[in-house]
Amino acid sequence: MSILDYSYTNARIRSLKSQLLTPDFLKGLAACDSVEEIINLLSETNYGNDINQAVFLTSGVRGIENGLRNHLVNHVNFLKSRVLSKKALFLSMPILQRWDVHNIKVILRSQHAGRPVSEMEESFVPLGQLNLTALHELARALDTKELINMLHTLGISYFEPLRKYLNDYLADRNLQKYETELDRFYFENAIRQISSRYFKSLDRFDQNKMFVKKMLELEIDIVNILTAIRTGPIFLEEEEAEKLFIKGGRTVNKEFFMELFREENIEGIIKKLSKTVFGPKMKKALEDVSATGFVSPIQRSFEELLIEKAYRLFKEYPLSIAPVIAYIWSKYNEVVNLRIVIRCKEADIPPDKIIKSFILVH
Amino acid sequence: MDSAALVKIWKAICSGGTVALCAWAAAYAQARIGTAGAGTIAEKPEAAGMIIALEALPELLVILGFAIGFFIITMI
Amino acid sequence: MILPMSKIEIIGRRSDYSKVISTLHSLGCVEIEDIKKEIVVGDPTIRPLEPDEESKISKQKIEEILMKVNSILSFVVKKEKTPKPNEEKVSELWELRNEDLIRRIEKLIGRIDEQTRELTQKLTSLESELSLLKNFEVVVSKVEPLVRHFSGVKGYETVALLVEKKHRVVIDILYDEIKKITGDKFEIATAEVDDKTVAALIFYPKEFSAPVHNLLWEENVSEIKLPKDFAEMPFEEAVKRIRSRLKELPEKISKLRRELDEQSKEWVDDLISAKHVLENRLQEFQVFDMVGQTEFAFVIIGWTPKKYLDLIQRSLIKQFNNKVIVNELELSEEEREHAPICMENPAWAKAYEMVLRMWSLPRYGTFDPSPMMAFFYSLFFGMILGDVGYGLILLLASFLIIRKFREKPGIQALGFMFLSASIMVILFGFLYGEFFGNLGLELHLVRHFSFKIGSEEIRLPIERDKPEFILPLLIMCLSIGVTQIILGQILGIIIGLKERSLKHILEKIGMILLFASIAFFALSKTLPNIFGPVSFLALIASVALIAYGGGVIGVVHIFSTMGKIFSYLRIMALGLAGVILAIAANKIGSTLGNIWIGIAIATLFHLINLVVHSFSSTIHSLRLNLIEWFDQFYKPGGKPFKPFKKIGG
Repeated sequence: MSILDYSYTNARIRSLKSQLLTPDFLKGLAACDSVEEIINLLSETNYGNDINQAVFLTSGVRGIENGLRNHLVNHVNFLKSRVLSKKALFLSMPILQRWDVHNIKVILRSQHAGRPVSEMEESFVPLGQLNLTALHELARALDTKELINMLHTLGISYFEPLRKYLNDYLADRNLQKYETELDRFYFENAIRQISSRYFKSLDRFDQNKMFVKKMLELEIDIVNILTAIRTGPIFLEEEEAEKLFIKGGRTVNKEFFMELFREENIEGIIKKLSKTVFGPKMKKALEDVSATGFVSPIQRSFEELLIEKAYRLFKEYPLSIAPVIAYIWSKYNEVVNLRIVIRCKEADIPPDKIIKSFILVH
Repeated sequence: MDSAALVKIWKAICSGGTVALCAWAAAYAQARIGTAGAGTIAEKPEAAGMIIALEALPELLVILGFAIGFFIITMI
Repeated sequence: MILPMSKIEIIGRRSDYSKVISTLHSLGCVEIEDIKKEIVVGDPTIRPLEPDEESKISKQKIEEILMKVNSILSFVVKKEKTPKPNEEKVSELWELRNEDLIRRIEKLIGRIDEQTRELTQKLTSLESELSLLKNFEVVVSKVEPLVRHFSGVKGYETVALLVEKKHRVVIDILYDEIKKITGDKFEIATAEVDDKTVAALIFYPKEFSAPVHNLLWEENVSEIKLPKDFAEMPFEEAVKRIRSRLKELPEKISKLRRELDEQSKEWVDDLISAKHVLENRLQEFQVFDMVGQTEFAFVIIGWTPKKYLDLIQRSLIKQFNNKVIVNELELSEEEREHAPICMENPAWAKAYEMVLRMWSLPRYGTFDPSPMMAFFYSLFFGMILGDVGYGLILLLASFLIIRKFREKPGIQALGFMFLSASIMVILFGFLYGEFFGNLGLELHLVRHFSFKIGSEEIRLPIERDKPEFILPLLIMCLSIGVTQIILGQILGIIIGLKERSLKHILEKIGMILLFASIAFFALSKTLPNIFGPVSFLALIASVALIAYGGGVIGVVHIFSTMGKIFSYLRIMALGLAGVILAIAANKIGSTLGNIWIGIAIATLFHLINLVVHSFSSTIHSLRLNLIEWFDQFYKPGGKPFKPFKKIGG
């Protein structure tokens, strides 16, 4: 591997990283007296333009959230078009596409529950191939069939698993199974993508591919654990449950997954996981159920794991793709932290509690 | 060919080689500083002064090589 | 030099607080220290100042209104390109009391909001429409040629499909099936969308719509779904509409932008001035929690250069009739170390102050090396470039820079930097006998001459490109290096004395002794015999002193310092390269035949050489100062002085 491939990208990523908001700044925001003060402080940062414009068009918290999301999207687009080298982009796409899967799941879930479009909009994180306008359009789909047609029209390959298993889903209305197939498709696709010899120098032994793969493996574990939490012996036959397992993870193999599945409550699962990397984080997440309200603490604890993993790779291999991955995650995390501040401020939650629910990784 | 001419030829080859090698080394160093520096300037224009200085430092390698090449021809 | 700083304490009645803080704000020479650092834990008498209700309300109002100003401005000016506020308007607004200021700006915003809201909303909706349609551009451009085949026939309907290539046979099946449904009244056309997908268009009478759609669903092919807003119209028309929207939207958007820009010209100045004033007002509120309060009084603790102390005292006393007290506080050892750094230098040394700012500021209690850097930089620069002709050009250029950039002190400082350097260039040019390289010698403007000191014959000028002068030049560079390094040691001793660190002093003395013993060894042949053993003793003593003063690192330092001295050889190497290029320029010029072309070419080469060479001379001269010299004594890590003053004022 040539170091040169990433030196330009890395230099820019590093200087962008130095512009991330500092923990002190975030704490300062948490201590602000009003939402307006927060906006004014943010308008001196890189968020300024996006937030100011969004606040003008939509007032209140909704406006700020729009602004935060617009900034995140613009920033990632800027990374894609101006910062990342071709190789770096190629290797970070699988990481970004995880948000496509997330967004499609959001739509599927609200269709499943028969909830209106407006409710799902704020859960979109349009960092992958699907941009915000496309997501809004998808959200208008009347049913899953139409959603599949639209995805195909837009050239998004996730229509494949959705189409393949649509009849099953319509028959048993088991969303968990349907989502698992989507996840499975994403992971298989992503791993195939980075393993292809798209660039000659990115051969099988390239460590950059390994880093992306490591991140994906961690995500597979997370998805499996989440599946185990959501299902249980009460809802599902063992045989059926086995089909929900996605292979390729690092920690959770099929036997372990089935063990987790057999646990009847979440405490049991956490106990089983206590010896793995997941245990302590999940335990903590459950203990201080943070007041953030809108992000589930468990999901957040998994995100923390992913961010920490990215940072570990970054520190071990500073001249690789790892800094890019770590940066994407920390930018996303920054936006989530800011959303927490805004939401909590609106709900009048005291600053020390807000600070406690931040994830700060350095 | 007499030995004086031979010496002259070798001197020329050696001094040329010295300069070439040093220039290659400086170019390598500047390429790496340059890519990283361009990235940095793009985000932090106020660092431009520092980066230009860093970018220029490896050229001393060529200059030293040039001086040695000069010595080889004139002094030996 | 580094200005001596005072730590001050300003005490007054709580009711006077906001006026005092305003005065300090406009004076702009006090850095306010966070009171929380000063409060001893458990001290009940002093606590951070709590804003009164009135200021709380004003602050909130100002925050709200600033947010609105920012949000309107964000559509017309980029954050980093915000123009300077209009001074007249600013001072007019500055005079207003908070309530009046708020009322005035609110009115302004109300007017602008009305004008711009519709425009900006239209703009964003067009932008998102464009962004949406761009998602469909690929598909549309692929089916477009197919659509042209059969459009505009009444009573017919088109359905567009996407089929994965691996399932291509489906199209044949469809063909047969639709034939069954419609008879022969249909057509199918296909085109590739990408390497995985094929698009197909089926054109059939409307009355078969239901069975055809059912068939498609059963065969598991995707229908192309255009955006909902286009779903109502026939497919062919929708495709055409999307295409034309894609074409016209960018134009419409830029037209709207121009309109907005045009409109904004009326008020953008007002808004920027308002923003400026509001931000400054807010700043006064923001220091609230850095200030302390007792039961009836407020306490501000801060830093100021000693020479402004009097000014602060006088202006506060004048305004508040002795109701406000300004005390200078005694500095503790630790406080002295962490005092902020405020430097002041004459114009000719200002540039080096800027260099230090970029590098790292000296610690308080050490000293500002800018004036000495000015000397050494010029010396090295002159030694490297050393050419009367080049020197004159540089001198002229630096005069022009100093004259032209009176308004911009930063650039003017660079002019002064080159001014002193160019004088040195001329002086060394005389020593080297260089006028545009060897042009002076060739034209007999420069003569060779020699004189004797004792038995040594000294020949001048020192022609740098001649082998016989290489040794003298080497010695000259090394001795300059040794001189500067020894000076560095002496400065280190002075700092050691100031800081009362004996080990530090001993290490530096050891280093000087080491140089002395090496010099004795080198000159042992010419010196009386007694110097032999003396220099040997001195060597041992010096190593012992260094080892005692600096430990293992000190001993390692011996070698690195020796290495640093050789680094000064770059002066000669750079100079040599420059001279040879200058001579080459003359040579090329003289071989061209035509005298005018020759002069033109030679001038061009000389200019290139001058620019490139002055650039690298600058860098390497600075490097010798910053790395080789500073390593001997410089204590970086000073915290810059950041006075509480008006933004942009």
